Amino acid sequence: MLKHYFRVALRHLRRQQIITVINILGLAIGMACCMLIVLFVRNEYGFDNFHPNGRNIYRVTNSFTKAGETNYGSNTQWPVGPYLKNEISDIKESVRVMNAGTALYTYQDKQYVDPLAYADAGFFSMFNFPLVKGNAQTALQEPYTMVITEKIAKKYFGNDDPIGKILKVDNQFDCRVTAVVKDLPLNTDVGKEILLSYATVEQLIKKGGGSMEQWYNFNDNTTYIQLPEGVSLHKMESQLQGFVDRHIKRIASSLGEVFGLDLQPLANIHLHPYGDKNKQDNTHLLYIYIAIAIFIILIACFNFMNLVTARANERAIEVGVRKVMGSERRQLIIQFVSEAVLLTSLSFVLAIFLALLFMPWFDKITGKEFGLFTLGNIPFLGYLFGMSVIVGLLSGSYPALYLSGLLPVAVLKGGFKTSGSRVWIRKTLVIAQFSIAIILIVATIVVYSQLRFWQNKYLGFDKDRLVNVNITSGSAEKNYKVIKEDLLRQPGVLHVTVSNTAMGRYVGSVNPVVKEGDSEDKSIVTSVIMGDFDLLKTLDIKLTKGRDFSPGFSTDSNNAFIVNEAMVKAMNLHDPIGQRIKWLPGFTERKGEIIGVAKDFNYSTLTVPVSPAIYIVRNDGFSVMSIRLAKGGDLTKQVADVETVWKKYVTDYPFTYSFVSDDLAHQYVNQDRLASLFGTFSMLAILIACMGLFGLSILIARQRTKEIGIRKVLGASTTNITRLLSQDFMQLVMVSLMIAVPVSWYLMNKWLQDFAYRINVEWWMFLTAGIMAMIIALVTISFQSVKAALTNPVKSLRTE
Amino acid sequence: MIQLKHISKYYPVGFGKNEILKDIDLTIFEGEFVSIMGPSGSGKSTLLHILGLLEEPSQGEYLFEGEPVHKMNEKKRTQLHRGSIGFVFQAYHLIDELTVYENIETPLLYKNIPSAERKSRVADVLDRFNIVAKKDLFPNQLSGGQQQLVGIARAIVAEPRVILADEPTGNLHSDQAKEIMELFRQLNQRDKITIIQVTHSELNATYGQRIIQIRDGKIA
Ligand SMILES: Nc1ncnc2c1ncn2[C@@H]1O[C@H](COP(=O)(O)OP(=O)(O)O)[C@@H](O)[C@H]1O
Ligand SMILES: [Mg+2]
Repeated sequence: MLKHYFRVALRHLRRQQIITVINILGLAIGMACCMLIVLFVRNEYGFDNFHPNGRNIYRVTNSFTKAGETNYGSNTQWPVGPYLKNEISDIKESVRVMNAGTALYTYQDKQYVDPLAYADAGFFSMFNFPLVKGNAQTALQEPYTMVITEKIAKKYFGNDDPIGKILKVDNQFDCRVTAVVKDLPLNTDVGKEILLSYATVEQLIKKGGGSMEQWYNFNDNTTYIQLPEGVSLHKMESQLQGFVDRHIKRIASSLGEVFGLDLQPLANIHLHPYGDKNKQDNTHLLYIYIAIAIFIILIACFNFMNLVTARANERAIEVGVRKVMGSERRQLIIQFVSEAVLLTSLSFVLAIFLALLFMPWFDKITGKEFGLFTLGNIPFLGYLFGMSVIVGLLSGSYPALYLSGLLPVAVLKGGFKTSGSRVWIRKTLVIAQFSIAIILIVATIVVYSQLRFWQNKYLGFDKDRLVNVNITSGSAEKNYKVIKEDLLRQPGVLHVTVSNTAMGRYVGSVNPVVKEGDSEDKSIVTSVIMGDFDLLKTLDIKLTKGRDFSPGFSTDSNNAFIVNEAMVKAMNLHDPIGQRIKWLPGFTERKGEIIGVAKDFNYSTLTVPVSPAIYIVRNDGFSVMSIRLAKGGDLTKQVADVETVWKKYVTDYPFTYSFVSDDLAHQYVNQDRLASLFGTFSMLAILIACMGLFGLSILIARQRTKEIGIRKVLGASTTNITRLLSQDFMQLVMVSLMIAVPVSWYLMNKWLQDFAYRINVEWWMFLTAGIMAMIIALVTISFQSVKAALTNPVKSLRTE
Repeated sequence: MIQLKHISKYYPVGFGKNEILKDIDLTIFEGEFVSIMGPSGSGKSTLLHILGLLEEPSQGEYLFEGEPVHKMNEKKRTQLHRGSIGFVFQAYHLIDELTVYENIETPLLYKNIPSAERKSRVADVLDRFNIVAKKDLFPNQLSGGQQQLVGIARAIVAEPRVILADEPTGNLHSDQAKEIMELFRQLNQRDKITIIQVTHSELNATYGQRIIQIRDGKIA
C-alpha cells in the first residue's frame, strides 16, 4: 500500500513540476539554514562538554562591590588556586590557567608568534585532552616545560619528534616540549594550543624578585576546581566566604571594596564568559539564531501547506473516489502525510548539498571550521533527518486532515469549492510568512545601521591611519627613543608616542584613584594610561580645560595628571584644574595636580560607556608604540617604511603591528556575525515566501481561468485582470507590514538597549523594508497575473 | 436486498428547507437490473447516493441486506464500500495519476487482497473487458468510452453484489453507450450482480428489467 502511495505521490510531484520545485527548493533552503544554525548553536551549547569530570568542575569567579555597585568577573589572583586546595578539604584539585597574550617562539632559525598560556600540572588530569605523546601526570610539572598540539608540533618541527625539543620563548628563556596533545576540538575554551607549566611563571616571578603571594593583583588568570560528587554548593559558598575573609577582605576594604568569590559550573563558561552573574549573556544571541532558524523553516512549511491545500480542488476527486472504494479516512491521512514526508526527504537530501555549498561562507562568518560529514556528526545527521521527517509530518498534517475530511458526495456532485475558512487559513499563512520576512528585513536594516553608526561615530580620537606596533622585546624597550626619533624623520610619519595603551584593544592598567585627603575607600576604579609627552597629540585627543603635558614643566613627569571628563564627573569635581589626586597602583603611589581635562574617548567597543581614566607621564613600562601616519600618500609604503626603521633596531623579535581601525572593527564580531546572518537569512526568507506566493498565484490563476476568460470576453482589459489577480495578495502583504512594524520595532529596541551608544529605530527603516517586500511580492505575482491576463479567452473557455 | 421505507431527504435553504425526496418506498431484489429515470433536478442522484451510503436520509429507514443502515458504524459502511457496493460515475472519476492497471487494482488494495491474487484478478478483468493492451496507459490517454470501461472494471473488480451507476453513458455517444449497456446486462445475467442505474435515455433504460420514474422527489 505504501508503495502505491509513493507511486502516486511521485507522479503528482512530477506532474506539478513548478509547484514541486518550489516546495522542495523552499524546504531545502529552509532546512539548510537550519542545519547550519543548529550546527553553530549546538557547538556553542556544547563547549567543554567532553570532560568526564565536567559536572564537578567549577570556575572560580569574582565580584567587586563598591558604592553599592557590583561588578562580576572571571579572573582570580595567583594564590587563590593553591590556597583553596590546601585549605578547603572538599576541593580535590585546583588548576590555574593563565593567558599571557602572544609570545615569540624561536626554534633554530625559525620564529613564530603564537598565543602563550600557563597551566598547573593537574591540567591534563582534570580536563580531557588526550596526549598523543608524553605523560599526562608529569608533562607540566617542572619549570620551563611545555605541551603543544599536533598542529603546532607540525608547524614548528615538521615531521621530527617534538618531545625534548627546546624552544626559546620571547628571547628570554628556553622551554622543553614534554608532551603533544591531540588537536583541540572546536568546542573548547579551556584548551590551549601551547601550554607552559605554571612552575615557569613562579620561576620567572622569583627571578624578577617578585612574589606569587599577591592577593589583590589580577591577571588573565583563571582558577578551576574539582569537587567531589554530591558536595553541597551551599556549604562551599560559606567556605569560600571564610576563605575571602581570611586572605582578601582586609586589603579589599582598605580600598573601600567588598570582594567575593563564586563558583561557576564548567558548562556555563562559554555562554557566560565573565561569570554567571555578569550581564554579558551570550545565550541571547543563540536564542536569536534559533528564532531565525525556526522562522525560516516555518515559512517553508507554510508554503507547503498552502500549495497543497490550494490544489485541493484537483485532489478532491481522488479523495472522493478513494472513499467510495472503501478507503478509511485514516488511510487517506497516511497517504497525504507520506506524500509530505517523501517530499521533505527529497528536500533533506538537497538541503545537505546546499549546506555543504554554503559551508565555506558560514565558516567565514562564524570563524569556525564546521564539518557536516564528520564521524561525530553521524548521530547529528540522523537527528537532522528526524527533524526533517517531523517537518514533513507538521506541514503535511494540515493538508492531510483537510483533504481526508472531504465528503465524497460533495466532491462527486461536482459542486466542490474551496470553502471560506480554508481561504482564510491560506491568507493567514501568507500574512505570517510576510510578517516574518519583513521583521527579518527590518532587523537586518537596524543591525547594519547600528554597525555603521559604530564605525562612523567619532570616538574622541582619530582612528584613521593610526598604527600600533607592539613593544614586546627588550631591544625595542631599550631603543624606543631612538626608534621614535628615526621614525619622525620619515616623510609619512607625523607623530609617534609610546604608552601602555593600545587603542582598539586595551588600556594599560586599572587602578584605584582617590582625591588627595580622602580616605582610600572613596577611591574610583580608573583606567590608567601611561605614556610619553606626545600621547594626546598623536592620538588627536582634544583638551577641554587646562593644558597638555610638556617637558618644559619639571613636575609633569612626576606630579601631574590629565583626567577625562568621565573622571571629573565620577569624582564630582567642580573646578578640576589644580585639584590634587592620588594614584594607588599598589606597589607605589603618586600624588599630584590635575593640569588638564581631556574630552571623553572610547578606546574600545561602543557597546560600553566611557569609564573614568587618567593619563600620566612615565618613561618605562610601555607596551605599544602608536604611530600617526600622514593622511595622504601610499599607506603600504608608509607601513613598509615604519617596518624598515623598526627592524634597524629590533632584530630579536618580529615586527607585529595593527591598524587601530581594524582592531576597533574586531570588537564587533558578534554584531558583525549577526548582521551577516540576518542579511542572508532575511533574503532567503523573502525568497522562500515569494516562491510560495508565485506557486499560489499559479494555482489560483489556474483555478480562475474560466472566470478570467469570461471577464475578458465581457471586455476586461489586461490591466484590469492583472490588478484583479494581484490586489488580493497585495492586501495580504499590507496586513503583514502592519503586523511586522510594531513587532520589529519592539524587538529591535530591545536589542539596542544593550549598547551604550546606539541608533534609534526610525520610520524609514520600516518604510524601506515595507517597500522592498511590496515590490518583490508585486513582481512575483505580476509575472503570473500578466500571463493569465494575456491568455486567449477562447482557449481557456474551451478547456472547460 | 435493498429496502427503503418512507425515505425523505431535505436540505436546509435559508430559514426553510428544500425537500428533494419525499416519502420514498422502494424495494430492490437481489439480481435485479433497475433503471431510474426522471427530469434533471428531480433527485435521482440523491437517491443513488443514499442507496450507496454516501448520504444519510433525513427521515425513514433503509435496510441493506436486511440490516438497518442508520445503525451501522463508519467501519461497517467502509466494509460495504470495499466489498458489496461498486460505483460508476458519469464523469468516470478515474485517478489521473494512476495507470489503467493501477486504477483497477486500487479497490483490491483497500480490501487487503494479497499481491498474487490482485494480479490475477486485475488480469482477468482486463482480459474480459478487452483492455489488456491499454493497461499501462493513463486515463488522459484514453477515449471517453474506454475510460468508462475502466471505471466499470474498477467497480466490479472487488466483486460487489450491487453496482450503482449515475448516468454512466451520459458523456458517451450511442455506440459506446450500447457497449456499456451490453456489458451491464452481461454482468447482471452472468455474474448475478444487482445493477441500479440512472439514465436519461429511454433506450438504455430498457436494458433494465424495471424502470422507476421519479418526479418531484416521488416515485411516479
Ligand atoms: N448539498 C445540497 N444542498 C442543497 N441542495 C442540494 C444539495 N445537493 C443537491 N441539491 C439539490 O437537490 C436537487 C436534486 O439534485 P440531484 O439529486 O442531483 O438531481 P438529479 O440527479 O435528479 O438531477 C437539486 O435541485 C439540487 O439543487
Ligand atoms: Mg444527477
